[in-house]
Amino acid sequence: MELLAKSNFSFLRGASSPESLVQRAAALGHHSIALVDHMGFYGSARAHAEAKKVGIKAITGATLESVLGFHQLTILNKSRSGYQNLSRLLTSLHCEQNVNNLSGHDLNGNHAILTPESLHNPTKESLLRAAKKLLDHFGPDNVSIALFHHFRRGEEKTNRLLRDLGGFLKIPIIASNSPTYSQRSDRLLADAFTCLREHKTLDDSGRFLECNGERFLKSPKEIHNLFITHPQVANNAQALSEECSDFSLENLGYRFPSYRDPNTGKLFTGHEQCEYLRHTVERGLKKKFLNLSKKHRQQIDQELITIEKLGFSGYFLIVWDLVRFARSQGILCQGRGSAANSLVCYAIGVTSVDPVESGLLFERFLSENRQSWPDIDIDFPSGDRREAVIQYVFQKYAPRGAAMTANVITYKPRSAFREMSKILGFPESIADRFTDLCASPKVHDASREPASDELSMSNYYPGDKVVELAGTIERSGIPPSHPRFEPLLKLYHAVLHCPRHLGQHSGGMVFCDDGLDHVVPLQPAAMENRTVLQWDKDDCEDLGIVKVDLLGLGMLAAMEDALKICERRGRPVNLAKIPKNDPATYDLLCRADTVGTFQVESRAQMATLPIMQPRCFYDLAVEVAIIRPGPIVGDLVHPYLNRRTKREQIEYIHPDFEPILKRTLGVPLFQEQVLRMAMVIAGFTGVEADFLRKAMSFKKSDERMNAIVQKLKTRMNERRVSPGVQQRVIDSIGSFSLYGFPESHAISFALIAYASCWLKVHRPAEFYCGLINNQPMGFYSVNTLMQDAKRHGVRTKPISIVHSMISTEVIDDHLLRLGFHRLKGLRQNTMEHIVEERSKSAFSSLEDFLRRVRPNVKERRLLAAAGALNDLPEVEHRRDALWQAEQLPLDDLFAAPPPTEKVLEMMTPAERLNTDFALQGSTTGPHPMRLWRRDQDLNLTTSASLFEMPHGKPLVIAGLVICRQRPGTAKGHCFISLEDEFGIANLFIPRKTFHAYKLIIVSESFLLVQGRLQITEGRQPTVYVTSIQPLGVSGDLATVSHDFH
Amino acid sequence: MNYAALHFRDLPLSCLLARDGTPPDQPAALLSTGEREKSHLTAVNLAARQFGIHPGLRTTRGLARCADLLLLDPDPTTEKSAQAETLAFVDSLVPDFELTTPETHLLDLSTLLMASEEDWVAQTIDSSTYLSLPLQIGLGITPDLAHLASLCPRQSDPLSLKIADLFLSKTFPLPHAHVLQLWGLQTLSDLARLPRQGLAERLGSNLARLHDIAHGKHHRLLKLYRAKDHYRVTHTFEPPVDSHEPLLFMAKRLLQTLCNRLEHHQRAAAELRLTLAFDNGAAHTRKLVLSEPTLSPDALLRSLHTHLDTVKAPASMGEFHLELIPTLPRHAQHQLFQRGLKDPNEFADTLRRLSGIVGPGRLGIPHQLDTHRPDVISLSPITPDFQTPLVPEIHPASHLPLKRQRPPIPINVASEKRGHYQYPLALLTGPHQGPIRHARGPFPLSGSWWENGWQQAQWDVELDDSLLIQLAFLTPGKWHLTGIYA
Repeated sequence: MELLAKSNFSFLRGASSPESLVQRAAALGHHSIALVDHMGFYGSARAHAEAKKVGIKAITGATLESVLGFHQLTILNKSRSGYQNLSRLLTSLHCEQNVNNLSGHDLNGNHAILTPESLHNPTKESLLRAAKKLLDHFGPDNVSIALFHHFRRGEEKTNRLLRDLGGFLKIPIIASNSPTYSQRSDRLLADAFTCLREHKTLDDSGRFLECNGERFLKSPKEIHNLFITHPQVANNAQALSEECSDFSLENLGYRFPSYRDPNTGKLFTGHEQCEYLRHTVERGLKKKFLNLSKKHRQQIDQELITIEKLGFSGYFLIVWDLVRFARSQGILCQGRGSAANSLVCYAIGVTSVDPVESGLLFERFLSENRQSWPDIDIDFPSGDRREAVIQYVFQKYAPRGAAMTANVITYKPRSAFREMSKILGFPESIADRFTDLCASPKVHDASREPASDELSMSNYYPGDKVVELAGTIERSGIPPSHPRFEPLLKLYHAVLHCPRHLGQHSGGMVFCDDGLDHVVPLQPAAMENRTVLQWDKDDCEDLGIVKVDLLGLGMLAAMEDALKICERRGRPVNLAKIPKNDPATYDLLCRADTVGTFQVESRAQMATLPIMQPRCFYDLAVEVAIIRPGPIVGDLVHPYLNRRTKREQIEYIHPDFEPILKRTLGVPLFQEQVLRMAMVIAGFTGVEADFLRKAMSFKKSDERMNAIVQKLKTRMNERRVSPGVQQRVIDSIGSFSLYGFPESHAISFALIAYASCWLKVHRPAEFYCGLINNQPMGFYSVNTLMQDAKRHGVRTKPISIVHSMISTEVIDDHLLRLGFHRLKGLRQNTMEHIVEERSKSAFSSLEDFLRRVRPNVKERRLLAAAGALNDLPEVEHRRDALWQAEQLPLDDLFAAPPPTEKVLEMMTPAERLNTDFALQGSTTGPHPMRLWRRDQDLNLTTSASLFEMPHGKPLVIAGLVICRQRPGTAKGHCFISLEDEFGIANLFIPRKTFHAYKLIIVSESFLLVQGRLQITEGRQPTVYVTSIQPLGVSGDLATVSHDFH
Repeated sequence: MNYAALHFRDLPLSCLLARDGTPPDQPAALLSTGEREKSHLTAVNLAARQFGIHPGLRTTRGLARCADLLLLDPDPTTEKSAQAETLAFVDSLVPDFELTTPETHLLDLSTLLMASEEDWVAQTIDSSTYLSLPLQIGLGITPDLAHLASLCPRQSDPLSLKIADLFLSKTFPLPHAHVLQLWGLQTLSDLARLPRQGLAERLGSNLARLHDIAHGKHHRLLKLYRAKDHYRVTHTFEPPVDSHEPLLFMAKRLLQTLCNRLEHHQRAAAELRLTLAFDNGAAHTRKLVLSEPTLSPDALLRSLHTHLDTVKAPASMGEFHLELIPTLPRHAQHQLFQRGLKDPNEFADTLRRLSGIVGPGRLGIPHQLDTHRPDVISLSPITPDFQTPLVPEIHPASHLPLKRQRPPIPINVASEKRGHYQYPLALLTGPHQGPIRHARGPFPLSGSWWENGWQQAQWDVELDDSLLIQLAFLTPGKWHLTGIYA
């Protein structure tokens, strides 16, 4: 038993992971190990999971700092109440100030340990005082004294004092080595962490470092030998560990919150929750369906029975409550993921998909075979509105009833190298160079692995690839002959993937009725008014703590804005009621006129839409799912499209798959289909299929995937499935293991995609306005959106301090007015001040504006240069405003009026364009290509004329690059979208041409391209590029393009 | 025109092109330092500008515009030697000039006799051809106007200078360049046309000064350039000498000359550099750092003498060089409560003598290093104020006084291995021998594992005669007697 181990979750105070400490403890013959991480239970969940695996007990505890006058105070938990009390205490220490005397804190069930490190410079008197204090607070049976034996000079004296103290106060004395790492060799990393903690290099750290490497986890026999003169201390430690072993994290006492009676505020009982859910569902169904079909009725009954059996009624009600709150605040929201398989979710408004109508399986979401909690992810508009929902949860479960799950930030190759090279005294420039080399494609080429290995940086430098790492380090400026080269390599590998600090998960929230702080310590998050748990989402899942994901989606924010504007303008839209078979919307999709829409606006999507020709909602769901890395890797795009265009026969891999694959023309596109294929062809049970689903979700877990594929093969062999069919089934699964896409998720996304297209067709002004107000988001820049709007009859007026509001506004169906938010560098309070002052009375002159609003000099220049002051009287043009606004009016009654001479020339159109792009990233003026074309005699093809040209015709075209794509799946070819004043031209650059003109392609914003026209499937014109040159557009426009994402 | 400015355009780039004999029609650019993929162009030649390439452009973009663009990395050595050549060239033209920037020299023409300014310019350009560097000459009634004129590519009116080029040249403070750009001002003449008062009210005095310069209303004095080797002398002995007396004799005279030069420029000597060249090809070079800046030839000679006393000549001496490194003279007085040395140079002399006796690196103030490694000290240099370095205090773990053995005495010890460590049983050799009655330890110590790692295990042992000894076990298998407790 080792009762005072610290893991690397003590952040710079321990060098080994909880898992390695537990594994080592088991290997050494310990029956238990207590993890007492610094100020938290950070590593306890992982230690608990590992201890279960290796069959020993993981005791929980923590080391507190600066409490009760102790430098370090170690506390163990003897019982669940002890755990809960310490968890609350830790939360208070993190979240409150001046918590150092523990008054008011229940310490029942906690056991304090006085160690040689508890006090700075311990003396007989100070130790006596400290021990008495502990006895007062924890009670006589709940205090021990620990002795350390680290082979240091002088420690025997402290140990003697502690032994005398124990004898005097009758406090049991225990033996410990207080390990901070599991093996002797880990001392290197412990020293490195000490340097990082003290902000020193190894050379400067001196006696901050340990004097020897004895602070590793020792075996019970070694501990016994160390304290051979006092054998009782090891026995006492054993007794204490047995006392503390009664509690483990399995008995955490977490309970998902119950729903409260909305009238009385009392918590519902289980039965009451079931009744209330049934009632809510019925009410929802009445709203959704005029006449409920028999199929729907059967489905809802079955779902409710399952939910009731599994005891999840409260969970559904609480999610419903969140959605209801959001809607009450006018916040759009929609459940995503497998929740769309549930009719209950649809009925209570969590999702917007009728699963019965869409043929979705409830079992994919919830089944009696699966004991895990249902997974409901809800999308909210990103930004303030999602924060409002998050704050609602914090308020509702306050105090300390809710928190975000943590995200453990670990050392990645670059941070590992940077920090380790720093403590070894290498200059920062070496780390900068290493970082550059890691980012450089050249380095990646050097260690090129199969495609899947390129997904993560961590795959570039796995532990066994020292040679490649060594090469990179050498190129960074440290030759292998350098005496510190080897230590750097060792430290790099030791620190890689170690926890660095705790961040917060993007949207995962955990909440609890009676205080979450008794379940796990909370601490303030970096964001204001948020708290974060000390465990990450996997720890929470392992310990049965339920997380709800409240995610942010930019498009929802844009659509919500658009809907509000529609309502303000007296043309309200109810997204739930828009027709799903609107021909105009499908026409838009078929002609790939989808700039600005959700999910179907990418270059690849736009290329597929005219071939796909979606004419119903399910077609759109397939379209959303089909242009994904998974299907592309699996070469599944073409079979589907070929079958759809009847150029290829439909076949089902195996006759038994026909019912499963019929809707997708025999091509497995969705995760559900793959699971059902496994169930049919290999006889997988629901549990096994679920394991397969999990293996597919763990994107890079080859181990899990290999195991399940092996099982699949064995089963198929048993069932005498032909090798060809076996291979195709396995290939289908393999392609999904990278990016699985459930059908329900595709349908949920398709709903948003459809709604965005519908808005673009029927409410274009509001749609573009919503998009412009919620940038950055999506694929295209604001300028491209404004150009697209212009092509759809919606023009945009420039920013004006006389007319503009803070956000962009719709003036009428064909006109928008840009808001002040588009000006980079204008402060929020200045924007508010302008609007506020203007609402009092219109600005009578520039002087009046400057006097009343008092913008700072940068803002004055910004507003003047952007032309925002042009509508004021006495301002003739932008430069006139710049000259006048450069000087603030004098508050002197007798001062002579400033001379009104016009000293500066007016901006030329090209200068205005440059200024607009520099200050706003977009222009309301003419397209740069129109200006360029005006000064040229060249007779070039335009994007509009491409549609009228025959296949194969040679052409020269020019334009602004708005998107460059070179997906890994495109075999080296490149795709560019080139915008001119008439529209967008699609360019295809074959691999050879790309290499010949690579520099021009990647660095120039405006291109002049030679090539020939190709009319591809779906009658889409594409320019097959043969040569490229930069276009001589004056100035360097600050254009934004969507590149190589 | 009273002033001329010689501007060697893009010197860091053009010196490399000149070195390599690159033809002028070859587009070329100088790269920024750092990662090449992220670099930008810091200078481009005229041929490159024809392709729309300009300084500040990303390298990739430059290559995109001109695939033949010659990319060169900066070479400080070539640049330095080119600067030295240009300096020598300018020095040959006029006695008084200012080194305004490494690329630009401002010349005072008032003392020069010339037929016409045009002839002088043509002649100067003609005489500079051996440098193979592009030279632009500007003339002006004020130094700054001449400077501005030299920045114009075609020796034209200084007011035709582009504001963007002026900003890039970084020679005149231009704090509001971006505002001038917003105002649409292209050239200096655009700026000169603005009302001075309006400009000053809006953009402050720096722009107003530039406005004055453009109108020739601002005049300043040149900061005359003096070469560093102004304070260096060389003397050759004919025939070579075998003792240092002749050297000291000559040095006394030469030091007087050098000190006079320093005094003339309000400077004092901070360091004396001596190089002796011997007949057998050997050389002896030494830097003698002075305790405080001095202008006294005697003090300098004394330091030199002391040092020469410690030098053993391998052969006859044929030549010697003396150089004084200038610094500002010391103006501060000794503080009332600060005890200083009466003559710091004499003290430095004494230290130099001591160092000559004990050897280099063996003189200083000892202090214990902040490490777990026992008995490690470092010497810090002795300063005139006897300032001891700030080091953390280190207290021994034991209160018993320990008489250290320096160096430790290697001894043989009978021992046995228990667990990870060797346990001593008896001392077999050394000044104190016999069986061990009591032993406390081991106290393993280790450190510096990242470079020249060390480790040892210490023991405190009591011999039969009650003598308390500290032992250290060093791998592999070595025992040392490191001290005796009093």
